[in-house]
Amino acid sequence: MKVPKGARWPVANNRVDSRLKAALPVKRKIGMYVAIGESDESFDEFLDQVARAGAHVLEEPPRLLTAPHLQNAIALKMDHCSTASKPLIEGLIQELLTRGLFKRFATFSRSDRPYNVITLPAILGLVQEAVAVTLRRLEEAGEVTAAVAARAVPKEIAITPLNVELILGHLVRLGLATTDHPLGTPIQRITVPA
Amino acid sequence: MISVGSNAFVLTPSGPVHLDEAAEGMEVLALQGGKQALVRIKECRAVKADQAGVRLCTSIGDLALAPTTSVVTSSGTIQAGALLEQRDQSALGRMEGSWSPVEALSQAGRRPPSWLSIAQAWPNLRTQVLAAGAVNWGPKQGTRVGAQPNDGLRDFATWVIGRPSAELVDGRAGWAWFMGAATPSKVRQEAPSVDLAVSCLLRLWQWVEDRRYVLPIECEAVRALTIAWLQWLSIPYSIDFKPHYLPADAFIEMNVSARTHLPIQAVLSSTPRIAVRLVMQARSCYPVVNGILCAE
Repeated sequence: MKVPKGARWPVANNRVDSRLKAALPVKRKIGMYVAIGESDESFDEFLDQVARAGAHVLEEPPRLLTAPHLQNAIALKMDHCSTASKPLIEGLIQELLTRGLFKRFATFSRSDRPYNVITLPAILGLVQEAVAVTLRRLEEAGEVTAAVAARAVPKEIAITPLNVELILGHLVRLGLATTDHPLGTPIQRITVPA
Repeated sequence: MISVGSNAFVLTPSGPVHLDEAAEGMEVLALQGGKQALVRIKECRAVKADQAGVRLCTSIGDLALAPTTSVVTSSGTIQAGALLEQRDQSALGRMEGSWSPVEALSQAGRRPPSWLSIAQAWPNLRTQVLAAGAVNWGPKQGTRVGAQPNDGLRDFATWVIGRPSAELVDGRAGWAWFMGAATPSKVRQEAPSVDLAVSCLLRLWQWVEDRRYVLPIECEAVRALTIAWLQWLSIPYSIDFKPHYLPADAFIEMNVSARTHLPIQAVLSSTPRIAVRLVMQARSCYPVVNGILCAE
């Protein structure tokens, strides 16, 4: 069967016209969507490609991204990812989280909201090490600034200021520290409640 | 042999007991011959987990189990590893499976009369609540509570901290702390009512709306403790793990009707560092661990 242009990967059923629907006989649920594809294998290949592209995005340099950011970055990395396939990436990221191939990390935003970021298992190990080091500094000094944390955590994590901010936010999220940063500005300091 | 994650509780006549403290000869609540019974532990020891486990999430609670340990469902006992395999692998990014509901002991009104009263159990409850909420920052220490919109935290200060005027420091992300150590010498001698005891337990959670609270999934110790005491007090509740594909938050809702058949919300591969091997003296009994009926 000739594959219509843009249909290399499965697509969201509600994003394509009836002609394309007729050409894609295999139906599966992906996240909140019903997806259609050429074959069962096309779904497996799509998941595999999302995992590979995600690993590439997250590992060099080590990053922690929100699901929407990761979804966009993966779509940009993948060949032939049409606008009808892109929405499915969110569900595939969820699947990779369920399988433990991606890991989630809870943190706290500049706008005072809890949120989660996603990374790779190997990077999460470094992140957990960074959390432990930062917590020790907090116990010793009663406060930790982003600059102090950046010097204390593994250098792979300190490579971006945002990574360090996520570590500080994690301790706030779990009620192990508090912060006085004004809304909308980066978390520059965490403290022991006083 | 039953093998479960170490962060779990069994129920005894004197209160919930963390598996770290469970010992040979201790009588724990179990289902035996279709009835509630107290069954003695033959062996209980912590071991380094040598294989990936399975985390089962239901509305009565969650538990990490070895793949070969079974749970009781409405269609019989089934190994945790089989539950993991029953997840629908074709529904990507969703938590669906052909799971039978998990069976639980009735939560309402069937508390054995031989069990301690809340007055007798209160010192134990208070100690466990303080331990679960404790945060130590070197020389400073505090008790972490969820920010609450009403005066429930005053009861917590009175009954748990032991100082009605204890200073409450508000934080971010829905937390607040009572700073300083609890003061056992000033704790009131009498015990609170069951309602007040439950209220104190729920102050460790973050208020969402009337009778509904939430905790980040990482706060496993507080979650397990709360579930254990609610079970022990026969207070109905319902836990909702969200999102099901990989829970990030656990919501607890009070004022629900008691149920004995509970749909499985999530079955996940997990890697507990420590497992506890539990052997019961009686054969064919199902001990209650974190609210879930377990089987060899």
